[in-house]
Amino acid sequence: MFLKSKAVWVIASVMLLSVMAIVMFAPSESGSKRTYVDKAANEAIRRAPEATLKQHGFGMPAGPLVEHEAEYEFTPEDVEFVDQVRERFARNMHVKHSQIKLIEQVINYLKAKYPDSWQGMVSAFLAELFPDMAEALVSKYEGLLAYNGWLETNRSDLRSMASADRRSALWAARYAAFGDDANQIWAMDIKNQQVRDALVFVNEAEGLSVNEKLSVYKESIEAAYGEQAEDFILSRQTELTGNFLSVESVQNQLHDMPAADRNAALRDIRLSLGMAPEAVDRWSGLDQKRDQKWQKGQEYMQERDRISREYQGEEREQEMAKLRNSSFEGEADTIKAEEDSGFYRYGNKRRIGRE
Amino acid sequence: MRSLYGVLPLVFLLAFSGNVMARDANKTAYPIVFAHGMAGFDDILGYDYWGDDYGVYVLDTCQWGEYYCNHDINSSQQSFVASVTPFQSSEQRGYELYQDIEGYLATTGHSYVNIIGHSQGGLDLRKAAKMLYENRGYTVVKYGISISSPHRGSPIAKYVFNLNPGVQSVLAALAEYFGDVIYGGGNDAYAALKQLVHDDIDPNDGITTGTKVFNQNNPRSATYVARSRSIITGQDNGYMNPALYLVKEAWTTIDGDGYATYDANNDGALGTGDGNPNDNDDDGLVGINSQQMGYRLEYWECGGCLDYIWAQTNTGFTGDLNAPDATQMTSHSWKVYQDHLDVIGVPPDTFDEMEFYAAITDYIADNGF
Repeated sequence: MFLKSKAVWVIASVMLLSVMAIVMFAPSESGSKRTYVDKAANEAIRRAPEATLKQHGFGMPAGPLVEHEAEYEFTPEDVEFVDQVRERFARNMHVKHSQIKLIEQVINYLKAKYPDSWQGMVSAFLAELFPDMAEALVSKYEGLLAYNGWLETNRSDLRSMASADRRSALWAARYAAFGDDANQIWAMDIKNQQVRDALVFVNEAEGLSVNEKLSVYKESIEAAYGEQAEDFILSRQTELTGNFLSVESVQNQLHDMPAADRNAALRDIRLSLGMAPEAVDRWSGLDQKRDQKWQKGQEYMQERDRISREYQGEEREQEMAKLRNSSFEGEADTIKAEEDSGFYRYGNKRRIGRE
Repeated sequence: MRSLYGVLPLVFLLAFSGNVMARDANKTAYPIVFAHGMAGFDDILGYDYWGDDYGVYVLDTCQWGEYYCNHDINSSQQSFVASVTPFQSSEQRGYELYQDIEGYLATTGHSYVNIIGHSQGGLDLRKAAKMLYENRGYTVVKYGISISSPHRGSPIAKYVFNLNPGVQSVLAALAEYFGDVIYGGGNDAYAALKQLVHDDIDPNDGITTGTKVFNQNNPRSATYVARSRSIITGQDNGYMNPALYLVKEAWTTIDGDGYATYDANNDGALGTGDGNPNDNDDDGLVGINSQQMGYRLEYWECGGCLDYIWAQTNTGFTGDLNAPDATQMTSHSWKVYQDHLDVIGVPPDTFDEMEFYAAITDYIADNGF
């Protein structure tokens, strides 16, 4: 009776700890989809970028004082450039990222034309391009100069930081230079990071099956990309699958499965990440070929070890060559070149689903 | 001077098109595969490798109503971003690239690809192309385009490997330069550096390394890559990405535009210098005498319209990567005035990565692949 109740307590404790662990890493809600972003920390950075920068030992982004040219006489070449750029950008000028790309185009044009004095002329071009937005664009231009200057000044320190700290500092500088517009300027960076964060989460999450990890991953993509998630998954299905299969804990779980379960898991992962059934069938064929190669490769490595132990000098080389030729036929020379360089493709742990 | 053949398409376009703005990059017949350089992956120091400086993927196609994408490419353009071990030899990275491409071909059902490789990715693509040929029995890779690639070595690799002044340890130096990705599993900083020195740098380590032997084993060959092309980059200190400028300031300055049939100045790259290291003869990591593979490509930035890429033949064709001629090692023709990191998504710069890769896409498409 005592043992039984003790067992119940142990099980209950384990369950409680598991729940606590899940709560501690609890994904936040974004609509109906979960994300793995620390929203509270991000909000703190957004509200008080200066404090975050100070915490990391950085100053605020401050660009050079630009003396804007009071008047600028546009040449015919300038007029042509302005017309073309205006037409190119007009449709998307409401998007802050587009505004930055426009400013970069102007800078590039002027830098090539006036390498030493381009800075002061940018505002005249921006005003000529989109007069109604001139003030906002000039402000963005100054923000860009400040942010890029901050990156240059602090490049060395940024390099030496842990990636989470570096990200925090970068975002603080972005908010300091552009305010909330930074969210639109780096909108894709935010989405990419959400998916990366989910992969970190699934790698570290204990007690989740491969299927559950896949669900977490897929939900993070859907949360990040919203209505465009389906298109995104369809266009990047091979990369998304490869990234998921690169997660160390997923690899370990796949390695631990019996072959039939592993093949079924790979099939589920690929289907779930947007691959058509015929594509998954092609992958199954590739998996089979790779299985055979790895089987042969592992036998080769064992035989190679035996030859290394039993032979010396020229005789060993001859035996090795015979073994390579019989094991790999058309690839024997490639295998030899790899081994001469120190790389043994069948000596490493296999990356299931990727080789 | 841009050659007549180079200018003709532009003249034609301007003459017969009322609206230059209407030009978008054409869709390639075969998908484009991106092969990243050292460190790489899809992220380098928190920035997306194959993106603009704000995280938008350079060949992200635009779907209806979408803004964050490349508006200069065809909406059905296909591409694939491979990912290999960040710090490893090209024998290993090329093998991994091959496996990634096989997977992509399984997904899409395609039989051919074009590969664009940046930096070490330009070496990796040759190994992958060779393996694709060996395993499929035909030339899978149509265009193989290297950008800023150290086909004949990089003096920086040798400088760091030898722990020259300013370098305390190989790992610390690479961590300082590339971030903590170096400490990730599977990386081998020494293998990565040995790969990028031309000659076998350590005759006592029991292995044979370097670009020289790699080029012998994984040659530029039409059997493996139907058309080999390269984009050469070089920039002087004042305009250089601060990361690269610091390399120059703290470590060494490359003099990368002299001709020799061996590593005459013993700096780790084939060739020598011309005595002037400050004449835009390197991009911060690679000298121009290391970068040509096949024909050079010219990049022409169009203010306000889509940029152009052309193949140029006046520096000849670098067939044997270990034996370029004097022109191919010393000529600055068609060099793109950008540093090693400008052409990928590492800020700060104002280089338009979206247009650059759209222009490469257009070049490949217009030439049939």
